[in-house]
Formats: sequence, C-alpha cells, structure tokens
Amino acid sequence: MELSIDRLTKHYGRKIAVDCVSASFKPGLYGLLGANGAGKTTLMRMLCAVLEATSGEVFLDKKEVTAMGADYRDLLGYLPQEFGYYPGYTAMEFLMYIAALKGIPRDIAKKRVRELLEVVGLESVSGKKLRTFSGGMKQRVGIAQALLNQPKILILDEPTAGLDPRERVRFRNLLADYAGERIVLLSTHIVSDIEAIADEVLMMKKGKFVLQGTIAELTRKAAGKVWELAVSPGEARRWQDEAIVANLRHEGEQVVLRILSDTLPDGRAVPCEASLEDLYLYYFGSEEGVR
Amino acid sequence: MRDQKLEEKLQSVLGQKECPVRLQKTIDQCMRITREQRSLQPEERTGFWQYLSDVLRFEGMHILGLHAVILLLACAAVWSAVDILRIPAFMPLFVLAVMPVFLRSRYYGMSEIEAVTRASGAQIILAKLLLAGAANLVSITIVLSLGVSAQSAYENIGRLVLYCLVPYLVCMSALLRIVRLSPRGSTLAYAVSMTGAGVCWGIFAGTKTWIYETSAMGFWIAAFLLFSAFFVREICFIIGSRREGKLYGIID
Amino acid sequence: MSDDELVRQIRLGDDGAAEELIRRYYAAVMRYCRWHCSSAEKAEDLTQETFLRLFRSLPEYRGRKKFKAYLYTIANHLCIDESRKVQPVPLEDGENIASECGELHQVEDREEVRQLLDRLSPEQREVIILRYGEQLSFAEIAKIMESNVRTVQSRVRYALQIMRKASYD
Repeated sequence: MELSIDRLTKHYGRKIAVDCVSASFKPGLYGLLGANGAGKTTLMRMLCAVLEATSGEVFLDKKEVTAMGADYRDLLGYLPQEFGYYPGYTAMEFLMYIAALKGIPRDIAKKRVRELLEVVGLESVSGKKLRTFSGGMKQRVGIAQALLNQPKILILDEPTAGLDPRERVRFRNLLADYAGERIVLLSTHIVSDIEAIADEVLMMKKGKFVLQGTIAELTRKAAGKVWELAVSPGEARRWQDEAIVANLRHEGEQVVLRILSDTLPDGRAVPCEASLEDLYLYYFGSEEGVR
Repeated sequence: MRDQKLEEKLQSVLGQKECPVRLQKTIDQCMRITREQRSLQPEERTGFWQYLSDVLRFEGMHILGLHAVILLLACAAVWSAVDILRIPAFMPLFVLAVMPVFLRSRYYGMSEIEAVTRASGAQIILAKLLLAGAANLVSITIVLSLGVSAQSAYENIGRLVLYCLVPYLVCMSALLRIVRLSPRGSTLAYAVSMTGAGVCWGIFAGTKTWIYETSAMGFWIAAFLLFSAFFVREICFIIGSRREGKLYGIID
Repeated sequence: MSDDELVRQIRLGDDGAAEELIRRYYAAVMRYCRWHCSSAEKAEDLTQETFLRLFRSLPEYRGRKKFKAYLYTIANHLCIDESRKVQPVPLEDGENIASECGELHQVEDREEVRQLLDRLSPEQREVIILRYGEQLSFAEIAKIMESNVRTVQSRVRYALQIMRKASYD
C-alpha cells in the first residue's frame, strides 16, 4: 500500500497554504511536525479528500483518491484538529452514529464500539453525555471514532491536544501498536509526541517540507550544531536573548544551557548529541520567539 | 433378522463413538484460517436503505419533534375554521421545522468528521432530505385533507395543492442552497426569513385574495414549474456528488 | 445456538463459536469417515481435512438450515476421493478393531455390520451410514448425494432388504 502526493498545492487567494509538496507514505508511522500555520491541517484535509487542492494529486496505489470516492474514505480514519461533537449524545450513541455513517453493520458496530471504548479507557463513562466530558475525554472519543472502520490510513491532526501527560503516553502506546501494516500520519507541534514512535518525520514550514527522513537521519543533520555550555545565572540570561537555547537546567550554582548553533558558540561549550527537539527548535526557534 | 432389530443394530454399530486425538490441533488450524480470511476480506458495509434506516434512528426525533408541533398548530388552525387560503402560510414553517436537521452538523462542527465517512456529506444530506421530505409531504397532506373536509372545499383541492407546493418548493430549494453554498452566518438569516415568509403569506392570503382566483392560475403554474426546476437542480447536485463520492457543502 | 447462528458468529470474528462448531461435529464426522477407510488414523486425517475445507469455504456458505448437509457433503467427497485412491476396505483383524475403544461384543457387532455393508453397492452403503450412523434426514442425505428424497428412500429400503436377506444366510 502506498499513499503518495504529487506536487500538492493549495492557495487561498494570494496566501499559499501548501506549496507544491510531494511525498510517499508506506505502512508505518509518520510524524508531521510544524508550527501553527505551517500548512499541516490544510495538507491533511487534502489527504482526506475533504478539501479540494488548487493543483496536484493524491494517489493511493496509483489510483487518484478523489476518483476512488467512498472506497477511499472507507480506508480512512480521520481526527480533525477542531473536533466537533453532538453534546446530547452519550459516548456510546455518538460512536454508534459514526459507525452508521461509516456503513458498519449494527452488530459489528456494537462489538467494536465496546472494544474501542475499552481501548481508550472510557468504558466506565460510555453512558454519559458528551457535554459532561473533559477535553481529554472528548479527544479520546475522537480517536475512537477514527478507528471504528479499522482504517488502513489513519490521519490525526494534533491528536494530543488537551491530553495530560499520562494520556499522552497511553495514546503514544496505542498508536505504536496500531501502525504495523497501516499508514498513520499524525501532525503535532509537540516533538515528544512522535520522537519515540515515528518511523519517519516530515517537518513543514510555510507550506513546504523542509526536512524529511527517519529520526536518525534527521538528527545526523543536526550533528555539530548542538552544544552544552555551563554559565552563571547572569550570563544565562544574556545567552537566552542572543542565541537559540533549546533547554536549560540548574546544576549547583551554574546553569547548563543547551545551545543550537552552526559554529562553536563559546570556548567553554561542549558538543553533544542532537535530538529531534533540537532540530525542531533549530528550524522553528525564531518563529516561536525562542531566543 | 427382523427389520426393527436390524435397524437397531445398524444404529448402535454405525453410531458408535470415535475417540479423536487431534481435535485441538484441528481447532487451532481452523482458527488460523478464519483469522487470515478476516484480515484479507473487506468488511461488510451497509447499503443505502439500511443507512437510511440508521439515519432515521438517530435523526428521527429531530425531524419529527418540531415538525409535530407545527403540524398540530396547523391542524388546530384549520379545524377552527381559519380561511383555507391561509394554509400555505404553514409551508415555510414546515421547512423551518426540518432546517435544524440539515444544519446540525455544521452548527456542532461535525461536518468534517461526517464528510470523511463512507457516507460523505452528500449521502447524509440525501438521506435527511428523503426523511424530512416524506415527513413534510405527509404533514401537508394531513393539513390539506383536514382543511378541505372541514370546510367542504373539495372543488378547490387541485388549486390548494398548488398553493401549498409553491411556497414549499421555494423554501426547500433555498434551504438546500444554503446547505450547499453558504457559510455559517446565513443560517440565522434563513430562519428569520422563513418565519417572516410564513407570517407574510398568512397575511397575504387575507388581503390579496385576487392572487387566489382562477385568473391567477397561470402565475401559480409558472411558479410551480420554476421552483420545481430549482428544487430538482439541487437534488441533482446532491445525487451527482453522492455518485462521485465528493464532498457536499462547505467545511468551515 | 444453531449451526447457522454459530457460522454467523464466526464471520463476525467469534473464535469461541468456531471452537464450538468444531467440537459439535468432529467426533461425528470422524465416525462417518471411519466407515470409509481402514484405520482410525486415516479417518482422523479425513476429518481434519473436512474441517479445514469447511472453514476455507465458510464465506461462501449461505446458511439456511442446511449446515449439516454442507459439512457431510465435504466429508463425503473426501471419502470418495480416498476410496478411489486405495483398495476397497479390507476386513480388519479383531485385534486392530479391539484396540480402537470397543468391548468385544461391540467388535463382533461391528464385524457383522461391516460384512453386511460389503454386500451393498457404494450408494446403498452410503445412505445406510448417513441414515443410521449419522441420523440424517432423507432430505439432507439427498442433498449430500445430489439425488432426490424418493431415490434415497428406495435405496434405504432396498439396502435393508439385502442386509436382512444376508443376515438370514
């Protein structure tokens, strides 16, 4: 199975949301990293055939997905970033409704809904109305509805938004188990969501892919750009204003800074191994005002 | 050997139990086969009629609830000898009663999730249209029948049907157009204008009686044909979108 | 649960239903196959193969209360194929039969019935085994043998006549 995008572009008037991107996805877990406004949501909507592209195409095994219609959607599971719900439905009713829209026969749907509620940890509240659910619980319902039709292609747009750390870990484990023979594409601006589980990462900036590859390949690109420097607290403040500081920690009276720089920032700096987070900050640090 | 004795002997000998040795192994092998089959075969999916029944199960109350209230009001009005020509005033209200069902998914931000299901936007709208349309037509029939029999206006049935269908087609076409083309903000405008239209029509019926005379039939027939064309055009958009499996309606 | 209901549950992914269905009929099918071959081991080979073929073809089964006929048809075809490969079933010595869960009088009766069955044509033998051994209805036997009820009934009648006459001799 191969999902490929060929020079996919989306313009909104003069604004270019997605700028001629191409990629190929085989079974595995892909992380789409980028700041807000990078074009991740627009790209995902086009992959789901919800949004019509200005130009370019999406192919599944060489078949154009908009021509495939219902057959393509049958293979899809999608969780949008802005996740709506019918507040008067209980979790069980809501999932049964979505199952009906997905064309799943009722007896299969009942069994699957119960299983999924257990998987996402909501079996004890399945009879409660969605309006009583917390943000994290609603997000879990959203993930469950995406999995109802056992999709071969799972597209999740910022799925960990609103989840607490424990729920994030649970979610990561769920996805890591699910990927297997399926294509899972998840977008996020939180690196730790995908660092442990993604087979490949795509970094998106201003509608383009700036980087693409396995985590090992990408972190190699950042080799020689990450340094640790121990300074006094006063100096630390100056460094934070002048350089890209990925992290800092206090060690006794000193502050150890993790600095991203193409060249040796200071004679006392020591090179260290790059992580995906470092790479992300290196590319997006200035955008998010991390200096 | 007598027949019965022979048969008993056959039964007892041929029916002797065997002692299987590889039962569990066979069970394991067969389970493996079914699991492989399950992973290879595409899962069963419901057809359109089952889908329609499912939509009725979930949306039935929403379609019928407000509808029933308006139907009762209309029947009460007709029964209390209100001028039969005011019946068309209820047509915009019947359409208004089913409006929430069509716009619900957009209101609650469910459009995107629903659009990516196998059914897709077009099929969902088509199913709702069939159910809401059926409810509307039944209600119109009830109100008209009640009105005609209460006021013994049998000779006017043909004209009354026309007087009801024209405003109905106008309102329904407008609703479908809004679902297809217009962004969120216009929902309220539509609701207000439908209510207003109903009220105006009622007043109209009392003051501009000339429009209900036989001489004005040409106008009604022309209006009926025109708005039927609009309505059919909207239906064709939906059916076309469904056939192509495309999205229908705006995702905000 | 009826056979058709179990098949339905298997299609929905219920492994428990699969196990129950096999347990329900395994011994019976083995007993049926045993009358078509020379050893219990061979009978169990045929039984295993019957169930494997059953499960492979389960998606095509259109359940309408004819599961038993469907199952025995598969077994029947396998037994026919087997009989074409090997010589007609030889008479077994008493020791061989005695080792397969039976008491001595059962062994003698079994021997007697086997000799009576040997007098019948293959079709007559088949209907007797299915009717008296597996307790199938005439309709089910007709389906398995791709025949009609009348033919099956007359075969049973005629077979009983032959066996009765043979038993007097």
